[in-house]
This record gives sequence, structure tokens and C-alpha cells, in this order.
Amino acid sequence: MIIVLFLQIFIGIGILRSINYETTLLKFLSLSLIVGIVTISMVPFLLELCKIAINSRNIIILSVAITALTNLLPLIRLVRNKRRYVLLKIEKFQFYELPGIGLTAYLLFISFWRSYNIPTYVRDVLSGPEPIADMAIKEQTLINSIFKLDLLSTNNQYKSPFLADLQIIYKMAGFDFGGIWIGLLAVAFTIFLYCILKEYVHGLLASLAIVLLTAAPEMYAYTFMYLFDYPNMVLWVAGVYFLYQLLLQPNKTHLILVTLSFALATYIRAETLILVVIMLGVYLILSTIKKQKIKKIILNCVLISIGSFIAYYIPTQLYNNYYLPQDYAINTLINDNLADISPFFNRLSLITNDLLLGDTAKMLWLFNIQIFLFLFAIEIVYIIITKKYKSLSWYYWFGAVLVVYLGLPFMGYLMPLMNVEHSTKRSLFKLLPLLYLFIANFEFIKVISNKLTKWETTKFDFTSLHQEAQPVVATAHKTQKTKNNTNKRKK
Amino acid sequence: MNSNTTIPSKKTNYIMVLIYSLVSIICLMIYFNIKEPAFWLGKIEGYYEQRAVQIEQNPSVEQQLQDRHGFSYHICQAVKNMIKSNKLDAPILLLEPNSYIQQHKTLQQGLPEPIVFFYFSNGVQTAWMNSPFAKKATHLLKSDNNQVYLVPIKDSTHLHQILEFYKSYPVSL
Repeated sequence: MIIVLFLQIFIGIGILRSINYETTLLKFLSLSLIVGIVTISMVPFLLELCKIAINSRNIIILSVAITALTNLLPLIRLVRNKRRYVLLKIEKFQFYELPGIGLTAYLLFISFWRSYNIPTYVRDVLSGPEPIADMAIKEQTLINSIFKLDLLSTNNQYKSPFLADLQIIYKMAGFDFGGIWIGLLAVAFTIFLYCILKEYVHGLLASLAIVLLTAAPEMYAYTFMYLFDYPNMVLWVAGVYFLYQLLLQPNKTHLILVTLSFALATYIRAETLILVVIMLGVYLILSTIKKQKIKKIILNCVLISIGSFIAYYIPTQLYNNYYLPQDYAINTLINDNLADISPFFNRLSLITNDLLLGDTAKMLWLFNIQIFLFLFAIEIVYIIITKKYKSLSWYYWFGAVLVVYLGLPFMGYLMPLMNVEHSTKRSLFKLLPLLYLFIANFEFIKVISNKLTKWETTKFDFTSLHQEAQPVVATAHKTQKTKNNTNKRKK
Repeated sequence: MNSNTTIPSKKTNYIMVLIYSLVSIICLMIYFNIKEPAFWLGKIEGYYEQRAVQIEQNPSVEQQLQDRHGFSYHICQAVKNMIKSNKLDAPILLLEPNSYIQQHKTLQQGLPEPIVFFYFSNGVQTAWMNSPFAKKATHLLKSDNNQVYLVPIKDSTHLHQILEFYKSYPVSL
């Protein structure tokens, strides 16, 4: 079964190269691992949908088949057109990035160790995915003895099969507690995000940003305590990034990447569908301002929505209603008094006051929110003074932040069971990386970044100091030279 | 040409690289010496030390589960062993409400919910008092003085008496 773990990255490489995605090596490999882990998580689920026994043999066969399928097109291109399989352009790093990268690596090393060696104690996992995975290994089906128990106390058995599937695969591969996949995902995402930050800002600023982001206590804890929210955040951020790429360069590769990222995020947490729709609104507005063809914009929005809807429908509606022995009426979760919008404002107030500002927020995120607000205040003053109002990237990332900040209380208003102190708090993981991506597109940060780059590549000219030190000699020499030239001209 | 003009070059200025490195180190030192980040980083360093201890002690999977889940895991394993020693065949245990346990302090901590009980005990079925599964219960898991006992449920009248007794204590996690 350990072979399946190696296949993960090849599945990711195959998918990305099939859609002609090419970028620098580390960014490519980290994204491949992210896509590969989430794709492989579907293997037991697909076996269950086809009513095939979930055992190591079948998991290996299906994983090998998916790897072969996803790598077929890139291999054909390699053989026929001699197109390279993977771009071997390695990112450049400088010495001053080492302190930030070093500290981040230390933090991730510890979380990776804990993801491997410490059993989970998260209630949402223990009361659903973990027992289901355990029994699935014994009974070779996800629909097992767990569903014959008294399940009055929990609804976690209806959550996405993503987590249970990965636990099945990793436990079968020999990891006692199975959770090492979240450590891998955290490392891959951190590398991916760092590479993106470096596209926007100087390495010094990017290295400081990645440390601050990794050192957000609540989010850090979920890099070794596996649950749905951290992986959901990873795919959400990837989706928002690629949506921005689609805005800048509308092409099939970016469209597929957005669709895939948002669909996988929705597969992990079904309510992400709501945020996807709102985010597409931002894309629609900015694409229209950018004067792209309206038919193309609408088609892109529809395709992305369909991808996310399929990812929502299959686990949440099809699997829950037609496979599981117990019904889960999702419509009972929806607010039946939508006319009263006060819950939206109450939640917005709670999120802002309790989760983002105040003493509890410091325990959750340290000073990440305060740093953002401070830099945002400077940015507002800067753009008022310099009148730099027209940056597309600024409005896009501002929109992305607003989508999460306003989208979460909206989701809570639609589904009142989504409590603030647990579900909403963890959903805020989606906000933190976007804050830094927004900061990276601040006008004054761009100026600082450019200055840092310029100073780094500026050679100091010391010859002028040498001339000023000996003015008498130089002047005398100059005078003599001028006399000689004058004499020559006279002749 | 003005002799004071600096000549731009694409070659790296290593003095600036060194200055940037020092700036990075200073910024990180300032941040992680503030009260809250320092406290948090200290906690992470504690995890690193735990790792060293764990490598040295090399605990078994069972021991790690015990250390991690504490009382809940211990009580579930104890019940599993009781069932095994009493040679009971697939019993369904009725769990006392945690509100009763907390009020009367019969145990140091409440009991885990049925699905978690099943997971920790490798297959012991339990039911909450207000669940439809309560009708199928064969034993009551009674707690007293930080110990648990299996009380056989004789018949439906006995079950009804038990449910009536605990009716005023709401079930909770």
C-alpha cells in the first residue's frame, strides 16, 4: 500500500501536465502533491460508489489506473512532440530568506512529526470519519457497522468521505494513526503559498510573511490535527489564486485549474459552494471592467459552478441519500426565516469582535489581523495621497478577502447550525492566506518591494570618493591637460 | 558622465543581502519576544522536547491512545474487559447521562458518546437514554465512586424504571 503514497504526486503531476500547466519546479511539485492527495482520497469513495470491496488490492489497482490515465497525455506529448514532462526551472532563493524559511521549516517539522505520531482527539473526527475508516478497513465498505449504532449524538457520519478515505489509505499503508497526510498537505501548501508570495513581493517580505502565517496558533494546530477545514482552505486559496490568473490570462489551463480547485474544496466541505458562487461574482465584475467578452465570462462562471456543484452533489446528495442507510435531510439545516436578516449582522459582529479582534483573537491568530489592519491603514492613506486607484490586482484581492469576511456570516445566516466558536472559527483559515496575498498587492508594499530589489542589485560606485580625496592633483592634471589641448589646437 | 552616479548592475550586492538577513533576523526576534508569540513558541518548543522523549520511550500504539485520550479511553477499555471477563454476548449498554455524572460526581469525567465509545472499546455498543436504541439495551452502565458497573436489565419494566429515574437528567456530550 505504500506504493499508493508515491503515486499521489504522480497523479498530481499527470493532472497538471495534462492541462499544460507549467511553472517553476517547487511550486509545481507542491501543487501536484496537494492535487494528488485530494484526488487519491476519492479512491475508496469511488470503490464504494461502484459497490466494489475496499481493500488494499482494489485501492492499488484503482490508484495505478488513475495514475496511468492522468499521465497518458503528457507521456504521449513527450514521445511525439518531445515536449518536456516537467519544467526544471528552480526558484531562486537568497540568503536573507533563510531566517524566515528556517523558522517556518522548524515549525512545520514539528507539526509533521505530530501528524505522524499523535492520534487525533478532535471530536468531529472521532465521532464520524475515524470510526468509519476503522470499520471500513475491517469490513471493506464505508457503509459498515457504524451505521447500526446509536448516532443520535452526532451528524459527522454524513460529512464528506474525504477524511475517512485518507485515513483508510494511510492506515492500510502502515501508519498507525493515519494522519501524516495532513502534515504533507501543510508542507506542500506552505511551499506553494511561499512561491506565490514571491511572485508578488521581494523575498525578504515573503519570508517574513510566511513565518507570521505559519505561526497562527489555531491554524497551526490543524496542520497536525486533521479535520476538513485546513485542506478546504488549501484548495480554496489555490482556487482564488488561479481565478486571478484566469482574470489576467483567460485560457483553458487556468479555467480547468480554477474549476478543479474549487470543486475539490467543495468536495471537502460542501458549503464552500456558497463561497464559490460569491467569488465568481467578483470575477464577473472585474472581468467586465477589464472588458473581456461577456459570453466568455458567463461561460467560465457556469463551467466553474457546474464543477463545484457536481463536487457538492455526489457526496452530499447522491451518497448520503442513496447509499447511506440513514437519511440526512439537509433542508432541515437551512434557515426557515430568511426574511429576518438580523442573524447575518449578529454573526458579522461576533466574528469581528470575538474571532478577529480582541483577546480571544490573539490566542487564535497572534498578531496577524493587527498587522493586516495596520498595513491596510497605511495603504489607504498612500493610495489617497498618490491617487493610485486603478490596480486590478488590488480590487481582486480585496474582493477575495471580502468574500470570506462577509461570506462566512452569510453562510451562518443560511445555516444557523454553523456555530461561531467552532465551524466559523475554523472557516476563517481561508481568510488568513488571502490577507497576505492582499498585502502583497498593496501599492506601497510594491514600492518597498521594488526598492528592496533595486538596492539588492545596485552596485555602489566608490570611484567618486577616490577623486574627491585628491582634488589638488586632479585639478592640476586637468589644468595641464587643458593647456596641452589648447596648445595643440593653436598649432 | 557624472562621477558620482552609481552604476546599476544585475549582480547581487552582497552587503545588502547581509543587511536584509540581519533585518529579517531582527524582525523575527522582535516578534517572537512579544508576550503572546513568545508563549506560543515556547509551547512549540515543548512539542519538540516531547518528541525527543517519545523517541526514547517508544510507547506502543495502545499506550499512545491511552495517553492521548486519557480517562475516556481508559473507561472504554475497562468496560470492554468487563464484558469479556463476564462472557457477555454483544450487549448494548445504556449510558448514564453526563449531567447525572457531573451533578453526583460519580466519575471524574463524563462518558464518551456511543460512536466514540464503540471506537475506543473496539466494538462495545452503547445507547443514550433518549435514543430509540435505548429499548434494545441489555445492561445499564452504572457509575459510582469513580468506578463503573454493569447492571443487567431484567425486563421491559426494569428498563422503564431506569429511564424514568434518569428522565430529569438531560443527555449531553
